[in-house]
Parts: sequence; structure tokens; C-alpha cells
Amino acid sequence: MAGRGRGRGKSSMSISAEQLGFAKGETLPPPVLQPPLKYPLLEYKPLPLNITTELSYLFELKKGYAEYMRESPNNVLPIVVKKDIERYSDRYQDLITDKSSYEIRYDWSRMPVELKRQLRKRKKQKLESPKKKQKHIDVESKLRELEKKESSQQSDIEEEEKEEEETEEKDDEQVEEEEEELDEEMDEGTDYANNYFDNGEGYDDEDDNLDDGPIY
Amino acid sequence: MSVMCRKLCSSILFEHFGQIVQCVAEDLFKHGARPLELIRYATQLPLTKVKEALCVLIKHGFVRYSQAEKGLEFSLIYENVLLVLRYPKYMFFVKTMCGDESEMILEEVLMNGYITASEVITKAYKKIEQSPSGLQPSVPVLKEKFELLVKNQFLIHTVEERRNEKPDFILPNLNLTAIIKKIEGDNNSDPGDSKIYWKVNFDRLIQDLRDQIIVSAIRRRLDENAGELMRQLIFLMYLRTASWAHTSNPIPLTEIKEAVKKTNYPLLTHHVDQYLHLIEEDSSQFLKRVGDSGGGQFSVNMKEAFEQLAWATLENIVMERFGSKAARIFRLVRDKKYIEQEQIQQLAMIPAKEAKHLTYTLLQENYIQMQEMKKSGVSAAPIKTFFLFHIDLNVVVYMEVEHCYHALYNIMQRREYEVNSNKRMIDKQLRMQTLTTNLKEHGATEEQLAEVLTKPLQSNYLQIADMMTPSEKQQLDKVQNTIKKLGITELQIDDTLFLLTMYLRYH
Repeated sequence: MAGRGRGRGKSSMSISAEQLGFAKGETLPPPVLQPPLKYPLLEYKPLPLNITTELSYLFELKKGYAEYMRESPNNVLPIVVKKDIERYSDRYQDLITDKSSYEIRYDWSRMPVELKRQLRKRKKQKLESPKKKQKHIDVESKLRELEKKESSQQSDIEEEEKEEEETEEKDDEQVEEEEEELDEEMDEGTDYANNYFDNGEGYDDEDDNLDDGPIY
Repeated sequence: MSVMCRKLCSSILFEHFGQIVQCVAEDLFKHGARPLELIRYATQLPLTKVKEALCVLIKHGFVRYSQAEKGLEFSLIYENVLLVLRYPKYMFFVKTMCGDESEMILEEVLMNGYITASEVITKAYKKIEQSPSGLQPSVPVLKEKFELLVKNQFLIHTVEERRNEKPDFILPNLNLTAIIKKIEGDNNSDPGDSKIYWKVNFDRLIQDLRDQIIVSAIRRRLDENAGELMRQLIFLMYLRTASWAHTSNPIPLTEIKEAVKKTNYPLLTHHVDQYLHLIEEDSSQFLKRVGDSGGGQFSVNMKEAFEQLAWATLENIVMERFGSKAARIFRLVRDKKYIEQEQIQQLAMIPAKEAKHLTYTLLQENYIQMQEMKKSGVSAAPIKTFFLFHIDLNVVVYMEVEHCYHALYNIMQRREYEVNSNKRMIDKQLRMQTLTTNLKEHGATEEQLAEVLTKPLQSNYLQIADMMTPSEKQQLDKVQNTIKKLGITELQIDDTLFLLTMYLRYH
């Protein structure tokens, strides 16, 4: 359409102004160069709001419901990060907020079990972990024994430490997953105390050994 | 669905359930069904929180889950989220139908998603005990009301999604004495309905609101008696037709007469024939005469009724937005189905220029559509083409539904803004209220309490009331009035939305 028009020397618009309702010679509206207003003026005012008692009551119901839902445990709250200092009011805050986990509120015969916090997995790990633990401790304690024997020979110490670090690392990979359980096990482990008297350099960057702080 | 719909759902959930639930639901809305891990990855929330949020959403029926190849997949049912806007209307409806206690029971069920009968009775009992209204709590009455709700099918059994059982309405045998014991604080008594959960039967309530619309439309068009007749007709329709059928099976005149006789409208009983004739002749076409046997057979035409109501709504919207002349053009186009520009200005009797302006405005805003008709064989120059205007009702209704979503979202945002910007003051007022009520409750130990309170409050109410300056009070009143207005507007927009979605449901 437009292609043909161009050839004849007519205006390139496909529709003539007359068709749009402008008489010949009438000035066309000026082009709009500004974006429309954010809040355009209303040509027709909206009807006044008629507040009946029924509507007021409905509004009260609505408000009440929304407020209840927000206060109820249905409002999932984010985990609060521990603040810089302990405040006196915190103790009362704890009493007000319901600390119980969400699991007890649901009947799990009606909910997908997948949504439960995974307790079962943890237990399994707990059962397995002691064996693993034992092994590592054995290795380590042997290393220590060796270390003691060789303590007089300064030159060898560095090598020993490297080995230690390696075992550490292996250890840590498992430790990360089962931190809590491991910690407990550690406390019970009888030969753990022996390990204490290591010069400690290998432990520098490990979180679990923060307890060893005083030694330095 | 549209972006607006997503935003609206999201802000509804934020208002009721807080940010985390909103976040999880929005992710589900954006991506459809997806497993837990993906949700966690996309939302960057801790896993336990995602799980907790999903539990809340499932319990309230907003999320459904299905077994996929790898584990469970969760998906959002956004329609159910939008229903939250209508909860107050359901409660009010039940209140008018079954009384105050029933309303409380329904509210409890809505608050919990699903719940056992004994629990809901216990909770409602405690609520009535605490509320200042003159109601006397009693377990047998509450149980009766619960049964009434079930009988009216407002409540329904929840069934596990995995099993394909049909939901039923059988009430378990409740052990009333056990419930009473439970209320008194004995946790070991067993009311005998564990694991039988009830939820709100929205389908039923939607039908009832639909019927209300029809009845009130007739009442406004004709009169009270005609409204009552329509109600009876709908009631008769339920007896013989599936609930969402487009038209009812024929209802014989004799039956209508019998039903009307039982009502308390003497004028209506007298003039049943005339009223039936009026409704039938009416342009709204809610009722159709389908046969002559037995004095006449009538059929309620729900589909047609909602088409007419949707038209009326759109006409009103055009009228309020563009003025009565535009509404005239709109009606004209509707009436003529397809019409040319020339004819519009002639038939509408509006000056040519104004008519064109209005028509193009309507076209631009998508209230009317344009169809080009080219003569075959002749050159395709625009001068030879007919431009026919017409209205595609479905398109316009969809657009208007979007407008409703948009308006609702904007209003909610505005309300949120008003609340937040005046939070300090609203909190202050709340604090004052709790203080005064506390003081009143502990009237005897007032002085002791006063010691606990901070100094400027001291003991008497007067000083507490003085905590707010007059200008603050004024401002607070203004804000609360604005919030109320916005809330009520929300309810009214939802009315329009409901009507339009009903139309879409039938078409």
C-alpha cells in the first residue's frame, strides 16, 4: 500500500486526513512530544463512595482476618540474626515469640514428608560417624606417637606437619557435614586429649579448633 | 497469567503471610511446577524456611503437589489466592444464612486452611467467651451450627490428593463431653474425630454469591416480589440440574406455583403468571419459556444471564470513563454487531467530529474492535476498504479483568504505603489502647501497674489520652479514614471482578 503511494508523489500516509474526520484546510493537532502524565487528569470524576454499614462490616472482617493471619504462625518469619549485644528485653521477646518448630503444627499424614526437616538423615550419619571417627583418630594418634619419637629431630618436623595437614583436610571434608555430631563425639573420644599437645600450627585456619585458642 | 495478576497475588500473600511466603509463591507463579531444590535455589532462602512456607501454602490450599520423576513438584493455584479477597464476603454470607456462631466457625476454618470439627468448636467457644458481644458460648449450639454448615455444604471433607476419593459431607460422631473437657483444659480427652479435617467448600459459596447477583439484578429491574420468584426458580433449578450447567432443565409451572405458595409473599402468589411473564419478556433473558405443556415449562438461563450482566457492567464502565455519549456509541455498536463510522454518527445522533473522536478513543482503549473489509479484485487502497466496528465481548471482558487486577494491586500498594508512612502514629495509638485496656482490666491493682509503666504515663487514663496531641489525632483519623476507604473500594472492585470471572466461566 504505502509503497505505491510513494511513487505517485502523494503523501506517504496510507490514510488521508479527511478519512479521520478533518475537513480540508483544518489544522491538525500538534504532535505530542512529551510522555503522558503519570497521573493523568480525569475527564470524568469517579462516583462518590457510598459507605454502607454492610460494607463497613465487611471491611472490619477483612481487616481482622488479615491482622490475625499476620500475627499467626502462618506468617513465616525470617531467621533473626543474633544482634551485637544481648539486651534485657530479649528475654521477654523470647517468651512472646513462639519458638516451637513448624512441624508440630501439621498433621504429617496429610503433608508431603519431603517438607519435614530432615531428621532421619542426620540420625543415620550419627550411627556411621563413630566408626569413621575412630579410624581417623587412630591415624592421628599414631602420627603423634611418631612425632613424639622424632621430636628431637628438628628437621623432620616440617615434613610431619605436611602430612598432618593432609589428614586434617580429609577429616574436615567429613567434618563439615556432621559438625555437630562430630563435636559431641570429640568430647567423648578418650584419646582426643592426647592430640592436644601438638604444636598447633596446622590448625590455624580451622573453625573447630577455636577452643584451642589459649595455647597460643 | 499476566504480570498484574502475579503482582496482585504476591501482594495478597504478603499482606496475610509475610515476605517469605510471598517470595516462595511468586517463584512458583513465575516458573510453574517445580521441585523444592529449585525453589530454594531461586529464592535464596534457607531450606527450612522454604519448607515452612510451602507447608503454609499447602495447608491453605494455595499450592498443590504432585509426584514427578524426581521427587515432588509444587505448583501454585493462583485462583485460590485471589479468593482471599472474597473471604469477608463469604463470612458475611454465612452470617446472614446461618447466624453469628456459624460465621465464627467459618472464620476459624478459613484461618486454618483445614481443621477438625472438635478443634474448630473449641476455638470458636473460646472466641465467643472472650468477645464482648452478648453471645453465650455453648458447645451443643456450636455443634449444631457446625452441622448446619455441613448440611448446607459450606464445609467439606478434605481428602488426600493421592487417593481419588470423592469428598463427602458425613459428619463424624462427636463426643461432646470430651470437647467440653478439652475446653476446660484437659488435653487427654478424645473427641473422636482425629484426622477428619474440614475445609471451606468454595465452589458452593461461589454458587451462592452467583445466585445472589442474579436475584438482586432481578430485584432491581422489577421489584422485591420478582426477586423472590427468581430465588425460588434458582432453588428449583438446583433440584434438577448440575450446579454449573448453562441452562436448567425445564421447570413446570405447577411446581413454581407450589414453591411460591410456601413463601410469605401474598402478592407474588397472586400474580405468579404475570411475574413470570415479566421476567421472561425482560431484555435480560434470565428466564426462557421452553414448552407449553402443563401450563408452561421454564428454564433458567445462567449463561445468557451472565452475558447480559457482563454487557451491562461494561456499558457502565464506558459510561463512567468516557461519558454518556461514548456509552451511546458503545451500545450502538453492540446492537448493530458490525457498523461503519458513517452510520455511527448518523444513528447515534452525535456531531460527526465528536462521534469520530469518541469512536477512536474507544478503539484506542480497546473497548471496540475494528475489522477491515476489502473488496476483492479492486485495488487495496484504503479509500476502497470498509472499516467495520464491532465488539468482541470476550476480549473486552478479559481486558477489564486485567484492569480489575491492576486497580486492586494499586489500591493495596497505596494502602500499604499509607500504613507504613504513618506507622509510628498507628503503633502509638495501639500501644495506648493496650495500656488503657490493661489498666481497666486490672482496676484494683492500678497503682501497682502504674509503677511498672514508664513515668510520663503514671496512673490515670487522662494522661494516657493526652499522649496524643490534637493534630496527631486529626491526622490519625484522616489516615484511618483513607485506609478504610481504600479497603472498601477493594471489596467493590472485587464485586466487578467476580461478575466478570463468572461470565468467563460460562463462556
